[in-house]
Amino acid sequence: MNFKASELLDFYYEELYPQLMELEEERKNVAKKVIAITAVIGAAALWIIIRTSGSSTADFPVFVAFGAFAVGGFVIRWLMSDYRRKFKNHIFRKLVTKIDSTLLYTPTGMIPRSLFELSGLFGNDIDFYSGNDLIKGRIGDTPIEFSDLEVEKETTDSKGRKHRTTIFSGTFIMTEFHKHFQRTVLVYPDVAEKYLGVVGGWLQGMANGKLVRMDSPAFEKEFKVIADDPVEAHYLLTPNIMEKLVELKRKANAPVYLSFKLNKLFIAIANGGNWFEPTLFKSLLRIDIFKQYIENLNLLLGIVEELNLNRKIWSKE
Amino acid sequence: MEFLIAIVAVVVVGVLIYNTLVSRRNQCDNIFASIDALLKKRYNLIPNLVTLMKESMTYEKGLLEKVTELRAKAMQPDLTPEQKIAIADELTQPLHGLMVAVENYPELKANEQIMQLMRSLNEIEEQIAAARRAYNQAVTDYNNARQMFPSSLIAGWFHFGAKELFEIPEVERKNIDIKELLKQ
Repeated sequence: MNFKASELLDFYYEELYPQLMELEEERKNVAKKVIAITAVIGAAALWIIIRTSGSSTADFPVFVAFGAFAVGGFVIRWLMSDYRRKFKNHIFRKLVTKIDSTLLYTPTGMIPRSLFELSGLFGNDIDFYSGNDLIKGRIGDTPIEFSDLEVEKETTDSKGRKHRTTIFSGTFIMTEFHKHFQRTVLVYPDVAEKYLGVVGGWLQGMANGKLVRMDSPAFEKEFKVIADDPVEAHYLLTPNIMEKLVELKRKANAPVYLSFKLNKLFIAIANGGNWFEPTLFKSLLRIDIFKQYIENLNLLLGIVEELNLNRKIWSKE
Repeated sequence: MEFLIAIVAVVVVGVLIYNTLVSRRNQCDNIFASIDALLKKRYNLIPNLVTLMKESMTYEKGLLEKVTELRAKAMQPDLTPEQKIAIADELTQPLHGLMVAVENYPELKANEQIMQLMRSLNEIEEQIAAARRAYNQAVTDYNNARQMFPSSLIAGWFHFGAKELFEIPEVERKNIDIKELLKQ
């Protein structure tokens, strides 16, 4: 992971640029088709809505709009599939192995549902579970694996219509924690305290008996901790780790969830799951976009080092 | 009727506040109990460590004696919580001194039993530090509830006494040496 800026530029221009140029042509073609298809479907939906206005129920335009979205989404996915596959297999794979040749990248792989459920962060009431971009490896002695996940639940509204509600959409990471612990400690983004301050914290305490208040104001502002044992929560969340988690949240610029369970550490970053997707309407040749992929990868792989998970000074083998 | 509802509401709020104060006070006591349990765990490791180190260590006799003496003091029955903590604090420094001194004895560093004991001790030290932080946080929450209106009224009527925060000794904040040592 010792990736210097100069090395990065060399790698970009020497190894990736020719392929990126080829793929850039394909991107432009796909983007044109996507715009055309969107225009046709949009126009068709509008035409249906105008033609039927007055004679249909009030719900009908909404129904047509939803239908147009669904069909459009499906067609765009299909149009992009080949381009996405090439990007991931030829460009992104090279980048991953360049950063660390021991990393294993599976574009269609994902963290298994059983592990997602094991984390205990989002409950087990799941109807749709999918994911991609699985990366597996070891940083020092510590194993780490992560993938993007899209986890949804089917809900029925008052009119009997079914909707998909997102439970989690983002990058899900599993690694090993270097200390022994007995019980589960869960860390959630703190909405109440961030916006309501002391009153929010007070309301939280009333609502959840297992809420543990931590001794770092910066951490408390961003996160809330649910644990059976406050001593264990403080043992796992040392002042240093809390500081690093605040930093991680800031860099990820997305809600961050953590679960310490069965000697494992699960981290869920609700970033929408598009950190490693190819761009469609921006040029692939933009170096800032390319840098962003590297920054995101480094952020995830750097978790082991940032949280000092490689330190083997504990009796844990 | 409205008057009755108002009285019931005040009573309900009063009971809720009272219960919150009790649960916060119990939280402090529970955490203190964990500190006590951790200190005992630490004392249980000491005799073994001292026995194993005594043979090789020539210059640290004073430290070894100090550690043994403080452990014996801590084992006395009927110590007040303040005394327990004071002895534990006093023990921290010579104990760390011993752990750092191991660096000068390659035969001790090669002894797996000693290294295992040191790792356990290091783990307990960190747990104690965590428990102290948790205690201080619990005491802060309790004292805040005691002092803030309207819970301060209930705290006053039912004599919820103030609790003292722990001072985190300086040595515990910078126990880098031992960690550096064990890294090898």
